[in-house]
Amino acid sequence: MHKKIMYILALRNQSIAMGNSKLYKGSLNTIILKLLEGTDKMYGYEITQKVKELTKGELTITEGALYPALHKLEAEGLLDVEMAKVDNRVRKYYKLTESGEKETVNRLSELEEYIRNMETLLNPKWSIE
Amino acid sequence: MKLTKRHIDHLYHFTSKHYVEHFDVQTELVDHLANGIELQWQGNPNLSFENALQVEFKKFGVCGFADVVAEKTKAMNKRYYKLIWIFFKSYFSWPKVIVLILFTALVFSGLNIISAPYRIDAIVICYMILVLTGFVFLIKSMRRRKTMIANNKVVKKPIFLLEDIISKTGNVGFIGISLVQLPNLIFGHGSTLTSSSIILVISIITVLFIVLLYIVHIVLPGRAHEFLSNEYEEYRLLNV
Repeated sequence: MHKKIMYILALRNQSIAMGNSKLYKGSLNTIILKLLEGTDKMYGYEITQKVKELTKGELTITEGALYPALHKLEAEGLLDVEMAKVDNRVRKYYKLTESGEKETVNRLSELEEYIRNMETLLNPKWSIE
Repeated sequence: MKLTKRHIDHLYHFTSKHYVEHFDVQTELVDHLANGIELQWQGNPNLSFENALQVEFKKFGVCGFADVVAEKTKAMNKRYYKLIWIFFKSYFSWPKVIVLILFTALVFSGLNIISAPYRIDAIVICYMILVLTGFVFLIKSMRRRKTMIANNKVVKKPIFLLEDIISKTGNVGFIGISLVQLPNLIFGHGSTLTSSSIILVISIITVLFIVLLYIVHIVLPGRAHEFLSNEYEEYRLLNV
């Protein structure tokens, strides 16, 4: 289920450093969408932990970046929210909307194409004709 | 080890102290901080609540909760403008559109009655009256908001971000200020307006502006409860 995101994150880790890289930030929304595609719903903290778990701690989503990204995706109509009382507090869950599901497919293929192009540029296969 | 109700109340207070005013934004941050603290306690049960909280807060970076609040406000403003657009569009549906046409015809006739050299001045005065009326509504609304915040503090009723945006009209009222200057900027001060088609365009713009002011100052605040119930599950739970 998470093979694709593992692949994307693994590739990104090869070329970028942790945390604040602009490259990483540019992929954050796609990472969130991909994670939500594989599950029914997730809450903010769960997303940070899932990324950490999938990348074995190699990559961490900072809190200051995650919530603005979630709110932006929600405003774009790609995410829907659901509230639930858990322990002594209220938890906000995020799930993909119908347009969110379609957008996930688009953004993943865009990202994969970008990765392919970058690989071609960074590791060109030389040949003698 | 799980956080108690007292800990959660402390977290709400903590977010409020760090400039997160609205309950809906606070709720999400409180859950996040609580999860982080509980996870820390799993590894170190002797860690104090306050120390664990500081560790979690530092993860939000040097700006603290500012980025979260800014993005949430931007997202909610977008939702507010969408609400305005939905109502705005509804005035072009049958039979409401007849009122718009009649109103436009009335403004058009009114402008035609005024002698040509004074038309631009009349339009500017008309816009000024509209903007001032808007400001009166805005001041009233701000006063209402102040009372609401004070009352809510007494009865400990939370304030939601959308509720606040509706009461502040999403700063739409300020658009009017630039509109007042528009006739003078386009036609030049003291110029004569004789073209019927231009008078018609001005009449349409005026009517649309009135509709916009009517939506932000009367329609949306009047139906705020309904929008908040649709937007927030927690609002529904608190207001049943």
